[in-house]
Amino acid sequence: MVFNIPKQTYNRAIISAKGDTIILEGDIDHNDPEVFIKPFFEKVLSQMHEVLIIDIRNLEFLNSAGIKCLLDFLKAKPTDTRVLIKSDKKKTWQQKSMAVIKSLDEENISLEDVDI
Amino acid sequence: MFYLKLKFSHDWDDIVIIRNFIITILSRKITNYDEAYRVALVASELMENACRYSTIGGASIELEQGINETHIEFRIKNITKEENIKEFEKIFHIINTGSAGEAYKEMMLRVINRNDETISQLGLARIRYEGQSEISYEIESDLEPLLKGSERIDSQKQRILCVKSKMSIIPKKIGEAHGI
Repeated sequence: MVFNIPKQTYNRAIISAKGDTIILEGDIDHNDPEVFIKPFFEKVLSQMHEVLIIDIRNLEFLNSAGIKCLLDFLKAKPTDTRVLIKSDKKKTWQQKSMAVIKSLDEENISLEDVDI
Repeated sequence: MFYLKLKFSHDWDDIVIIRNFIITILSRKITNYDEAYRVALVASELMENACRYSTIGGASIELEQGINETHIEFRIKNITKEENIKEFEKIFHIINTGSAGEAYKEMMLRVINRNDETISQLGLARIRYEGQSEISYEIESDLEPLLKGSERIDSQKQRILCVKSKMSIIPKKIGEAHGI
């Protein structure tokens, strides 16, 4: 599966697609990150198949409004699709937040922490 | 030990500036990225709440490190409506029930099960779980310290909400290079 979605840059945040992977980078600390994340995720939903990878390794900051965007996406995705979230082993905040997100749907959400 | 107090408006861009300012100051006292991120997260979520729920006037953030340098405490104040304080108290009760992880999961489930498209209400749960902080609050009636210039409001319906967050940190030893 190859996503065909243009890269979005919004202040210090970048969201892009490469192959079957969605990449979140920079700082997502906006008042309303839905403005740029939601339209992107809507395109992902229309193109995704069985498995999606979300790579947050280069995400330096994510506020709770940004986490809500991720939760909204996981709620909207078809129930039989699986999501693999790649995080940076050295960023404890990523491990902690993603572990709780995984616990919401153990069957369809998996985590991979990478030492980069 | 140190003490810092800043007043800010409801401009969202102020949050990033103040967050980075606090991290710069604490980089002399904090050992690594994770510690710095925890402090940044707590400061940011508290200021975001203050910006979102302020009705009038400014807001203030205080940061104090105790004499033993193993704890820091944030105090955030803003003026808000009584109905917002009641909502805050409801969330405060939820996020202080059970373990920090269970409370965070409960708040995430509420996001998933809610149909309104607006706010996350995850901030306090994150502060407790990811920030590993104890949260408490006070309500004050004298609005004067946060009012700007000639602002006047019906004080019967508005209060100052002061949210406190106390967290332990690993202080840096003298001569240790900062890893932020």
